[in-house]
Amino acid sequence: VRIEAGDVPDGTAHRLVFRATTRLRRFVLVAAVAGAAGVISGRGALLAVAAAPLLLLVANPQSALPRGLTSALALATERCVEDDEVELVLRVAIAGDGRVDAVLAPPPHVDLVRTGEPRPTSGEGEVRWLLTPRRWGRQPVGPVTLVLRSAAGLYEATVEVAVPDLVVYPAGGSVARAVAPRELPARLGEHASRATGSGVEYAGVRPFAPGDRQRDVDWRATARHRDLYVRQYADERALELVLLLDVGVEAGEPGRSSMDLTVRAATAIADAYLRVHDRVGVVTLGGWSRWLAPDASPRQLHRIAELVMAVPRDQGGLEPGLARVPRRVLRFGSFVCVLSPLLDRRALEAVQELHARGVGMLVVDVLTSEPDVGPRTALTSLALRVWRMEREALRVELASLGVPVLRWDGTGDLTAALLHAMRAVPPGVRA
Amino acid sequence: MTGAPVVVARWRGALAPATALAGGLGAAALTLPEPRRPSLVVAGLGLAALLAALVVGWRLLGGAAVLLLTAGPMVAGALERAAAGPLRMTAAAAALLVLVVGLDAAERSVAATSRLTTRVVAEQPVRRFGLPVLALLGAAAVALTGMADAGPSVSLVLVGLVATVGALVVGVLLHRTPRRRRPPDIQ
Repeated sequence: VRIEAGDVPDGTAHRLVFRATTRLRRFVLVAAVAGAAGVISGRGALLAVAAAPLLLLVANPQSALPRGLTSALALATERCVEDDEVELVLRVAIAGDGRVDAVLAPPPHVDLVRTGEPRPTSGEGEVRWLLTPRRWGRQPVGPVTLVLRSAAGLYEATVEVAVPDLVVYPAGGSVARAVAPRELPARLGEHASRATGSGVEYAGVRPFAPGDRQRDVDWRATARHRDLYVRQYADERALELVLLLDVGVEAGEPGRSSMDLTVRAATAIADAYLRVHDRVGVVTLGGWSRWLAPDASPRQLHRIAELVMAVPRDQGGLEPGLARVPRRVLRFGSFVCVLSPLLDRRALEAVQELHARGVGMLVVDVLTSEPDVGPRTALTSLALRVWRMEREALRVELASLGVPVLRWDGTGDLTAALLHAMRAVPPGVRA
Repeated sequence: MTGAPVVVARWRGALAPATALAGGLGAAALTLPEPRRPSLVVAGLGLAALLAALVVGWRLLGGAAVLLLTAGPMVAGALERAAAGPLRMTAAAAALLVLVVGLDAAERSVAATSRLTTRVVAEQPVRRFGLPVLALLGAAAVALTGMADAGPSVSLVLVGLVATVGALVVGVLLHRTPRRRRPPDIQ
């Protein structure tokens, strides 16, 4: 996202407070040593060494220092997606003579590149940076520190220019199509359901009944049966999808940790389903339970993204499970997508509870690494084997409940797995 | 981290330490023509402190280097009249100015290695290079005057007193805190 010349806001005036620099103190030191040497030795020529720094000090009085600095800063956007390029522009003007350096520390998880080679001129100038966030979340960028050195570098003033935080949404793209079960709750939507209604997808014919519209009469079927038949259409309904995020444990390298994959998958799934006006909600598992009731409003994706990005900040020791989550959030008929690293039995307990409530589910295993057990010895190998067996046992238990489990490393498309899980919903259980 | 070619960036990074080193070597070299042990020891210690300051970036070491490298030519000039000639003293003043400026820049670049520093506004070139040249001309004038023999007299003392008072008045007038000015607008 770039910034045009006219997009930079008006400048903000800063008051300058100057202080003596190390250079000034060293000039005074040189003058003092040379002066003392000249007086003690009685050789006037030695005072020449003192004269040069003293003349520089006299020729650069405080009255010549600039008294005001104006800065204007513009960030192209405060909200972006991972790996987007966002431009940051800073303009500076000073009343007087001096040089201004803009110092910006590279923020964590954000690549910082200066664009172009600035050609500083006296009086005012501009610098442009390109920020490329590599991780979702609220990334602090600034402040930009302006160091103004004036009077041959003898005096220095520092001004801090605040930069707004960059809100980075997770990059999605792992769900190509929003698929849905054949049996859906009776809500108006865009998925063709098994029930007949007023949609556009052809669902069969049936004998004419009083009240049917004339334009629904299927004349070919009528001619074949020698009786009036009307066309039926599949009812178009909306899916109620709840994303259950197991965020109690984070494992794996930063950028590809289980938390990163959970957040990215949740955002991608929510984005795909909200595009087709399905109702999407979120429940977090582990730490403080937070939830967002299913909704299909245009702002829901924003709310979901804010909630999932806030999750790592408020991890606590409480493990209330699903007990505190209101019934309206996890209703009968919802489809639940559980995103979990499957590192403890919490996910299994949640799945068992949801199974008892009669909801369809898909479990996405987002763990991509194994624990670091140090040097390979017989004992560590055994520990690693036990750990793998425990995870396998958990997966078997989930499979025994009829819940599909998908391993996802952040690269594949989740559509096929969602379709498989939704088609596997047993008859009689909606969603 | 910058759009400039890598060679230019490296050259810029090495400029400040090279300047400081040149100034330090110049100041130390001024003790050599009539070598005396005290001045050589002081200059040697100063060079060692300078190298350490350039590597480590500690300002205390830099201050010690400036002190010792100033004391070197001064000790040499105090011990040997030939070492306090006008040309050598002017050269010493120039070398020490270069040393202080280069060391300051090198220390700042060491301190800012983890941050991206960009020059946005530059100083006026006339002021940047003209004033040091004027200061050196003044130093040369002082060195030449210092070599002249002058007998003590009442008129000379009076002239000295008037010059001192005048310097004080001018200094106070120039360095008093001025009235605040309105910051400029950005177009």
